[in-house]
Amino acid sequence: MDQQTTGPAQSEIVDRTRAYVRENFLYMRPDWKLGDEDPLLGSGVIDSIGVIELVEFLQDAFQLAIAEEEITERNLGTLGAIGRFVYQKCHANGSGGSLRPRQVA
Amino acid sequence: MPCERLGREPTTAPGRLSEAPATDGEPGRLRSFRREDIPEVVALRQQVFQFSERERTERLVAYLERIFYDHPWTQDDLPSLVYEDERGRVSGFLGVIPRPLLFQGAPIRAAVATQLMVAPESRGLVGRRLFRAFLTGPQDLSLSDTANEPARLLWESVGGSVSVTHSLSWTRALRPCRHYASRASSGGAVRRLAWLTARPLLVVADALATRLGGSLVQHAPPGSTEPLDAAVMAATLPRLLGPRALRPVYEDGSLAWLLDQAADKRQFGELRQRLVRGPGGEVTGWFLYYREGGGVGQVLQVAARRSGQALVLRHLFYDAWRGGLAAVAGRVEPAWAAELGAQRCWFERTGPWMLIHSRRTEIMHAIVCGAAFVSRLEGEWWLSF
Repeated sequence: MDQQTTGPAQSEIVDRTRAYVRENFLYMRPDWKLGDEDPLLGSGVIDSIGVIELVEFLQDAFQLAIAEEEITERNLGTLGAIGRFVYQKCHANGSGGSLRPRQVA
Repeated sequence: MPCERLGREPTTAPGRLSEAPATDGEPGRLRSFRREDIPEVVALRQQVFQFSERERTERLVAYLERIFYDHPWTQDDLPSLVYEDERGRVSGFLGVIPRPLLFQGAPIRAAVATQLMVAPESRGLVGRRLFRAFLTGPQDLSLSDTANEPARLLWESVGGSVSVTHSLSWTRALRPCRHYASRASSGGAVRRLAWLTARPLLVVADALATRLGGSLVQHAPPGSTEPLDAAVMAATLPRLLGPRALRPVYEDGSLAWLLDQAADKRQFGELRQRLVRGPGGEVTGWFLYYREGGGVGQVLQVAARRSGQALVLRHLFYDAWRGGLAAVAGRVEPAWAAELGAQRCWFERTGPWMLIHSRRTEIMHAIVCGAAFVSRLEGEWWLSF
């Protein structure tokens, strides 16, 4: 099946990530405004350990492998950046090497 | 003994540090620490950490200068690292201290990481960038032995490992009533008050227990102890350790400086260094530990030929008991675990983690499986910022 037709929409990625961030990092601050281009890092939303958890979430939720050099502010700095980055990875043509095989267990 | 994950590669080498601005689109840049950064790093430390053994700024400045610039192991390609934010401010730091070691008789280089700190407004990826840059450096072995939980998670996330055995601590109670009551008293003002009130009674109970005999009595062990200095340690260590795969180099004259710095650590009291001789006068080993009042002595290093471990521990416990301590504690070294257990020490997993990394699996194996002599004097534990 063509990956381009099966991957999540960018808006879905952003929405699911926003829900994850709200539930895991902002549960004590429900009034925190979290727009698509508001910074997640250095603003008190996600710290260094939070980044590790966020990467694990993205890998599990969207079944992809994120390489060390991809863990950057450009890719993870905002919900919008995450949406663009994950969308690109999920819909990349070619070998599909960035997609993580689903675990069978 | 089960071994932890060994020799995992950091997933990507970031390239060596450049003095040029970052070109990968990331804000700020990593660069080598410079002497003129010290005041900014001290200010950052005072912002990030609550505790310091050196309350006055000028004392902390002088200490950083001494530890990072005046140590005997300078290596230009193993610098400490700073993160400079987009406005040019130092808002991240990772201290690095090179240490020469011998592995299977050949010299190798270790780098000890210490004092990871990131300004609150830069938290997110900076700690990770600092650790990644450090772990992909030219050293054969990377170490950090007072790591907290966030540092452990970060270290592991960029390919480092944890030596779980070295992250255990051991304790030997010498005056059990006082010691256990003291432990139980931690955790609230009421419990502390109860402990202070009961303390005279506990002293009597310990004295009574000692008179009654049994395992609580501290008899003078055979042999003797005497003051120990750096020259004797450096000359004797190779003979004591024998074919141990990995060990520090003390013969380069650096040990006297190192012991001076260790003695400067006041958190646990005064540093006591004793050489242990067996009944025939032969050198069996030594112990170095901090002692203060009637509390818990903290062991910096014990060394012995394998057959002498029991005697060295007995002398340590006797010396600490005579010094009025309630207990002695230390970090578990795999090669000592069996003897510590035999001498009624108990083990627990509290306190800092020992983090390790090497691209050479055999070095990792030596550390984790007890073929290495890596005491608190080889990591960062002896430091006192």
